[in-house]
This record gives sequence, C-alpha cells and structure tokens, in this order.
Amino acid sequence: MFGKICFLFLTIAVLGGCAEPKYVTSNPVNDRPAPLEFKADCQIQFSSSKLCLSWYWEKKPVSTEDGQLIFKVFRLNQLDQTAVEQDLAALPKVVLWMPSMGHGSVPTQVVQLDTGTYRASNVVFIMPGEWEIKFQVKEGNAVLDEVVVAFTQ
Amino acid sequence: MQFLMKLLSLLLSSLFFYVDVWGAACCGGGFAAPSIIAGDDKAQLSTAYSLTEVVIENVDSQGIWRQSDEQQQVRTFRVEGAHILQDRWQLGLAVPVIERSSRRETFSGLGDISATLGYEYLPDWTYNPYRPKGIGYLQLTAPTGKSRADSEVGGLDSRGNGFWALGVGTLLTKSWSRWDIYSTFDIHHSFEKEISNSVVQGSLMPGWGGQLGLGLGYNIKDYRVGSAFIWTYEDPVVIKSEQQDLAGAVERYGTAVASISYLANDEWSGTATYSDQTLIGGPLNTSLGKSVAIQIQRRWGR
Repeated sequence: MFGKICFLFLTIAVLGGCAEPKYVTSNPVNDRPAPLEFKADCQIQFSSSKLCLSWYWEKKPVSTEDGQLIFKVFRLNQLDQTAVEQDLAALPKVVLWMPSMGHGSVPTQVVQLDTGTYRASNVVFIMPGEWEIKFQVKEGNAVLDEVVVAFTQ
Repeated sequence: MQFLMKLLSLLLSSLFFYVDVWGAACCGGGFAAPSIIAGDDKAQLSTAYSLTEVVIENVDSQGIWRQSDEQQQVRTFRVEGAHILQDRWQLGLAVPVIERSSRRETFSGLGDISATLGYEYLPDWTYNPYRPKGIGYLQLTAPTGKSRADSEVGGLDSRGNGFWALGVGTLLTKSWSRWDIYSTFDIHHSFEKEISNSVVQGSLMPGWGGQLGLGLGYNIKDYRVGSAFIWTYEDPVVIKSEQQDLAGAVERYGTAVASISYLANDEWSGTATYSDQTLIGGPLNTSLGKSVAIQIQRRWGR
C-alpha cells in the first residue's frame, strides 16, 4: 500500500517537472562599453510630441554602484530635418519598470545640464531581468509625453 | 487509537508550518496561508520564524533565470491561532511580520493578515482505513502588506499580495501505520484597487490564483520526517491607467519542502523546515528562494 503511495507521490513530482533552470549571468550586448561619441539622431520618438530622444550610459549600474545616464531631447530642424536640442516642457522623469514582475525600482533623480540635455542619476535596477526605461514628461501624476526604451540588465 | 492520534498530531503540527515558506521569494510572499485546526483539538497557537535567501532574483516570461551579487534576505515572524466554534466549525487568524533586507536598505512591517472559517466536511470518526479526513475553508485576506505595484522602491518594501482576496480550499489527510499523506488545494480571487504614486496611477486588477500541495511523512516515535511539494499560480496583475494599460504576466513557481517535527507531549510540538523553490515547477515571472524555519505550537485538547 505504502509503496504504491510513494510511487504515486514520486510520479506526481516527476510529472510536475523539475524547475529546468536556464541561467543567464551576463548580457553581452549590455556589457559593451558605453559609446564615447554621442550620436544625435531621432530614432526614438516621444508618444505625443514630435520630439525625439537619444541616450547613453555615463556610468552603467552594477550591483555595487548606482548608474547614471545622459539623455538629450531634439526637435527636427524645419529646413533640413537635422536634430536640434530642445528643452522639454517640464523637467522630465526617468522611471524604471519591470513589466513581467509588475513593479518599478528606486526613484531616479534628473537634472538639466544644458539645452535639451539631462542627466538621470541613482539609476538602479533592483534585480536582473528585462526592464523598461521610461522617459516621461508629467504634470502632477499625469503623463503628458513619454518614450519607453527596453533594456536588459 | 492513541498511536493514531499521536501520528495525527505530528502530521498536523508540521503540516501548516509549510505554508510559511510557500510564498514567492521576492516582493511580497504570495497568498496568505490558512490557519486551521486539522486535528481533534479545541484550539491551537503557533509562532514561527523563517529566514529566506533570495537566490534567483528574476525568472522571466521565457523561463530565463537571472541572479546577481545582491541577494535579498526575507525574515518572517508569524503568529497564528485557531479555535473551534462548534463541533465541526472553526475560526483562524494569521498575522505575519516581515522584514526584507537588500544591499541598500531594510524594510519591515505587517504582512497580509488572513482569517479562515473552516468546516470539517469529511470527519474521520470511524478511522476508516481508506477515506481521508477532509476540511474545507473559506479565507479572507486583508491587504495589510504592501503589494509590489504599490511600492515606490521596486518591491523592496512589499510584504504581501496587497489586495483584498477571498479564497476557498480544502485539506485532506490520511494516516496509515507510521505513514501519513496529505493534499491541499485552494483557489482565490484578488480584488481590484486604485493606486496613485510616483510610478503608477490607475487601477490594479489582479485575478485568480491557486495552490496545490502534496505531502508525505514517516513517523518514528515522537518524531516525524516529511516532505512536500507545493505548486503556486497567480494571474497577471493588469494595471489600467488613463495613459495606457500594462498587461502584467502570469506568475508560477513550485516549492519543495523537507521537515522534521518533534512532539514533546500532547500540548507542545516543534518543527524545523527547509524549503527550496529552485527544484521543481518550471517557474515564470518570479523570484526564487531557499528558506529555513522553525515553529513552536501549543495545542489545547477538547
């Protein structure tokens, strides 16, 4: 009787399946050094306005140290469509969000460095995984304009 | 008969300790556990302390496991009690206090409090050799622990599911000679709530969740060694806001448990438990931990 029970128990456990881990310890794409030359392009566009954004790591976050990123906001020159730095309507927010787990991270701090040029510091991904970096223009709690960039830590 | 009662006491004193370590390792700790008298006692009071090391910080939607140097620790102190209302009816209450530490900070506070109304629908008065003893329960969970979507620090200060929730479940137990087995099954529904903080503004819309547990034990004198497997599932938490809807993702994981219990006498017992969430269950969208825990339980006979 108990042999059968043990057999049943083990069968259920086996059918339930082992955890089958697929480990990732680093991301070769993100381990590349930060670009030294800043490329002013308009590939990432804000959702509401026609403004666009470029960004790069000034200091990539690691488990022992917070990160810093620089982002620039552009408009397109009306004559030749080249990118021209442009201030946002308000000091933007940078929000880190992990969609699969449904949570954010610790708040970042943003300062303006020059026309259309900002630094976000205290950039911390509290766990490895797939994140979104949201560059937001807010009025109170309402998001007026936003760019979302996918990032794997 | 006395031997059977002793086995039952050992089984039950260790059984509900497992629930302390069922929760997801990260950001909350899963659904609250029921507090039930499954033996023939009038009342019981338990205290437990568990230490969880979060060893896998993220398992994503593709089942990729990621770990880093920064491992969180979760310490849980839990008090739970239950009392018979009438012959087959009972009421239970569980109150956890949770502390979570990371490299940056330590947060602590009340977890989700749960109340349980139980009914013994399948009594074992005749000690039938095959028919199990069955207890059904209704469980109400209060969102006294912060949910991870509520958190403004990425869930580091989260101490529960953080939603009002209502669940039904059943516990089936059976003992033969020195062996015992049990199974638990519950489904629960968590209810929508409004949220407004610097990260999220809108409605959090959780859904259904459930747990299935299977356990086996062997009794030697005053000791019981046991193992159990528990599978946990939670629907995605959808975030609806004026700007956009965030879909969320299904969370699932399995917990393997090994335990040893000691029955000091008819009133007092203790249990030590080790649990591991990295062994079974094909986890998705969760964190995984390994826990050690101890529990002391006092029972009052009828």
